[in-house]
Amino acid sequence: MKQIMVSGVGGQSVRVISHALALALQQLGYYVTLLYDYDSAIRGGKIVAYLKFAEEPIDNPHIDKADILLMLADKEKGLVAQKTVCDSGLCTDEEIPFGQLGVERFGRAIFGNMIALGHLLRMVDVDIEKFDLRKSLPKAMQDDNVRAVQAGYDLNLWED
Amino acid sequence: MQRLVQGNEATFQGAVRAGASFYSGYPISPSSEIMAEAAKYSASHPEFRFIQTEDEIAAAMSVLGASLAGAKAFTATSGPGFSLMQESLGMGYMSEIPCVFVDVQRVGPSTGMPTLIAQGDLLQVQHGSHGDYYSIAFYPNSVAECYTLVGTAFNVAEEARQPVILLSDAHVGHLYELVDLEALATGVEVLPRALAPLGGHTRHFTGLISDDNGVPRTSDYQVYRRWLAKVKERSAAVAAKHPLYEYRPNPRSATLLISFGIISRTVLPLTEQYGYFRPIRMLPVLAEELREVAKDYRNLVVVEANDGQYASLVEQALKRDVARVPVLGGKVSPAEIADRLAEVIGQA
Repeated sequence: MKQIMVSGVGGQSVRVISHALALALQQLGYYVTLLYDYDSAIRGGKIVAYLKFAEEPIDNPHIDKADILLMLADKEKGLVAQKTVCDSGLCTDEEIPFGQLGVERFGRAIFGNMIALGHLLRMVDVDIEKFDLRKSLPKAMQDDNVRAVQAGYDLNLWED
Repeated sequence: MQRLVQGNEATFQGAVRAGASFYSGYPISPSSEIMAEAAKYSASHPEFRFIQTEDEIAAAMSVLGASLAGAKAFTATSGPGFSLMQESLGMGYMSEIPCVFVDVQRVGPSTGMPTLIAQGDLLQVQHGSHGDYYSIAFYPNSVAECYTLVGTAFNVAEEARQPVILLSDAHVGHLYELVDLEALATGVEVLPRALAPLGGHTRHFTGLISDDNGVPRTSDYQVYRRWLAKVKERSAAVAAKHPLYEYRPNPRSATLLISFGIISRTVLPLTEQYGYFRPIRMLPVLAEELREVAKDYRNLVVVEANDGQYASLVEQALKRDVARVPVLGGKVSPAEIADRLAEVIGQA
């Protein structure tokens, strides 16, 4: 079983990223649970997605310590993970300037979230060729989003 | 086909499968997705009627009216809205109106912590309105059960001729899991409407105690006593047909964990250490079933997201001390629960 947390604030696509990841894992035949904790504020309020996937049914959808935490904002304190990947300036583990990459590669910082999704797919060892990425993504701006996910998935290759 | 479904969506779809054709509501976290589903569904299914009312009082009253008019009707809300619905629920019990109220619980009282999980409405379900009445409530702990149990709630409402409560919570309502709703649908029994719709004859419906012809009899104690005995017996008999629970024995343990809703999922990994009992029918309390199970354990511990409401009901039913592990303020940590359990059992 793998346990993933995605944290951010309202408007940062935490739901889109985690839902897309869940749909991708579903296509690959995994059992998935996905749960959100969020604040009352619509914009700027904290949101954390808790995602588990496994080859067998999942009893407990809650997570104390994740295998991977993708942190897009640091509003929710106290999240614990084996490995944390964050946008610039948010952590000391692995920093990736997702927003900046979104601007550089696709003209808008918001694409940083799809780049982050691509990187997350790589980190959980999902082969992006083995499922239909478009089925997992929102329909709006899908071509750009697919490219952004692919860019995030290939992120380490660029650095080489 | 399996797909990723949210608990609240499954609750709505299950209600439709159970024959619901009317929904009225007022949006409130964490139940709003049920209303959003109703609005969306009604747009493409004109036979399904949807009203967004001005408040929860109107929503609840509309449900009663729709049911009297022949529709299987329901609403969904959360703590503050459920408080506003109590008077209408009382009228539903008095007027013997079958309908379903879904309460997706959050931290209260008042507006409290609107998006966070709690299970603090149990006693309100039992005694939130005034006077004597006999609540029947079910509580799923998975997306699949949201779908199937709302069907049970509708059937029980028809048979018992009373409002039935489907409890949920912010995490059950917002949980996404893979389910095959079409496959689940084949296992759902759908009872027909118990009441003929109004319109064929004149009948006075009121919250006043009335005789069998609907004529108010507000000073006849015998009418009241007969009515209360009738609804008490009928409610108990129908509830007794649904003694729903999940039990995982652990002969190596002296401790039985009792938990429900999403918290029952959180403690599931602890079943290697402890016995586990999950009431699915929350009210009336599963007294006989609990007594039978509990006799094999020295310690009973209720783990619930409130300050011991179900624990007090179990104590009352079994006349035994029950330890409590409250999960408060919307924070659900499996490790914290395990630590608190070890402490509580150590003190027992």
